[in-house]
Amino acid sequence: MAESEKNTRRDLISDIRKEMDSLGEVNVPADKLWGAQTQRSLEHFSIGKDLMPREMITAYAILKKAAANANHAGNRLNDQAHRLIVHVCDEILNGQHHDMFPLHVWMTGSGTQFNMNVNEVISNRCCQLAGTPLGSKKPVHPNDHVNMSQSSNDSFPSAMYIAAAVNVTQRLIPAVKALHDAIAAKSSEWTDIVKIGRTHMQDATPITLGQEWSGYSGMLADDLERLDDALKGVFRLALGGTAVGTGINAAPGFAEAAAAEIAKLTRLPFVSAPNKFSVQSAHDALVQLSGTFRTLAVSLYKIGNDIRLMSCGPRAGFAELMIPENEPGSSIMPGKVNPTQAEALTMIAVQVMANDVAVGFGGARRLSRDERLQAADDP
Amino acid sequence: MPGGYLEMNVYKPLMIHNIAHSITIMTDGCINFRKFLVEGTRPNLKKIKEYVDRSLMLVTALAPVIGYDEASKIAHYAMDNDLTLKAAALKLGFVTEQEFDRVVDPAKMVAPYVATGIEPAKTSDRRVKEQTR
Repeated sequence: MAESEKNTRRDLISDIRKEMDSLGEVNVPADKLWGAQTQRSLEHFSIGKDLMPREMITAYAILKKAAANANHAGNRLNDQAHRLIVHVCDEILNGQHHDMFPLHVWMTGSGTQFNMNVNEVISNRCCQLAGTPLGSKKPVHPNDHVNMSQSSNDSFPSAMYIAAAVNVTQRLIPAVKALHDAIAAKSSEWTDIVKIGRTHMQDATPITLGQEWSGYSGMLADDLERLDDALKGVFRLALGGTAVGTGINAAPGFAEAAAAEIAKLTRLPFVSAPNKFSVQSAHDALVQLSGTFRTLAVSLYKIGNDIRLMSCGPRAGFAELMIPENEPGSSIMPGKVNPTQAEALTMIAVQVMANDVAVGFGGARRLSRDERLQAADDP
Repeated sequence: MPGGYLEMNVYKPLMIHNIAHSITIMTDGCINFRKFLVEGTRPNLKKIKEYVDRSLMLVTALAPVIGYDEASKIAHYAMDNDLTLKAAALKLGFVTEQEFDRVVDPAKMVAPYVATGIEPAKTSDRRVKEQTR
C-alpha cells in the first residue's frame, strides 16, 4: 500500500467515537449510526461480499414501528420514545440510512447482530433528532425501547417472513402474472396455427401453436396458485415468542397487537402464529415457499428451453419461432442472433433450484431423537 | 445435518439470503423474458406449414379407419421411399385420395376426433402390398 494511501486511511480511521455494550468499549467510525455490537460483528464476520438482504432492512423497520405502536398502545413505551422510533422507522422506510446496515450474511445463525444493528441505528438516529450525543442511548435505548418485548429469536424470523411475503406479493407475483398474461395473449393470437407436435423430440400428431403456448401459461397459472398457498404459512409470525417461544418479557397481548400492526402497515394478512415453538425452532413455511420457487423455476426452465429450441436456426434448425433480435450475438460471426433471454432465464432457474437446496438444508426439520443421535455421531 | 437444533433454528441469515435472491432474480428474469422475448416473438408460418405438410405422424388419424398395422405400413413406406404420407397411402392403395383428404386433416387433429365411415379401398394394388410385407 502506498504511503499516501496509508495516511488517508489513518485519517479516516482516526475519526472515531467510543460506543459501549455489555462487553465494554468499541471504536466506531464517527460518521456511522451503528453502535458497538454492529461494529463487533463487522470485525468478526468480515466474510465475503454478501450483505444481509436489503429487504430485511425494510422488513425490520416495519417490525420495529409495529412493536413501538403496540408497546405505546399498551402504555409500556413513553410518548417521546414512541414518536422518535416511529419517525426513524419511517425515514428507513422512505429509503434513508440504508448504508448504516453493513453486516454480512455469514454471521450468527440467529441474526442477532443484525437485529442489534437495527436497534443501534434507530437509537442513535433518535439521539440526533433529540440533540443528545451519539452512543448515549438516551432518550431511546436500543434494547430497552427499540427492542422492547422482543428477542432476536422472534424478531429476526418475523422480519424474514415479512421480507419474503412483501417481496413475493409486490414483486414476484406481479412479474409472473405479467409473463403469464403475455404468453396467454400469444396463445389466443395463435389458436389457428397448426404445427407439428413433438414427443421424445420426434415428430408427433399436430397441435396448434396456441395450444402449445396455453400449456406454458397454464403452468404459470398453477405456479401462481402454489405461491398463494405457500404464503399462508409465511403470514404466521413468531413475534411475541421472545427468546424460546414462551413469551418471557413480552406483555400479554403484545404478540397479537404487533401482528395486527404489521398487517396494517403491509396490507397483508399477517397474524400471530398460534404455536411460537414451531415457528422459532423451525422455518418450515420458508422451506415450503422456497420449494414453490423451485417449482416455478422448473416451469420457467421448461418454457425457456422450449422457446429456445423452437427458435433455433435460422437456416439449420426448427425455426418455427422468430424471436426478437435484441443485440449482436457474436464478436466474430457477423449477423448472428442468439436466444439470450432464454439463456438468462434458464440460468436463473438453475440458481433458484440451487438456492432451494441451501434453504432445505438450513430449514425446518426438527430433530427426532434418532436424528439427534445421528448428529452426535457425525464427526 | 439439516435443520436447526432444539429451540431455535440457526440458519436464518442463510435462508433469507437465498430466498431474497431467488425472489429478485426470478422477478427480474420474468420481466426481461417477457419484454425482450415473449412479446416480440412471431411464428414462422412458412416453416410451420412445411413441417406439417411433410409430417408422417398425420397417419395417426387413419388408424381408427384402416387399423394401426396398415397405417404403420404407410408411414414406414413413406419414410423408406422419401414420399409424402399421401403419396405413400395412395401407392399402397389403402385409401382413395378423397378419403385420405377427408380423414387426414391436420386442422381436425388438434381436438378430440375419431375418423369413421370410410368405404374399403377399391384400388388396392396387391403387388405393392406384398412388397411391403
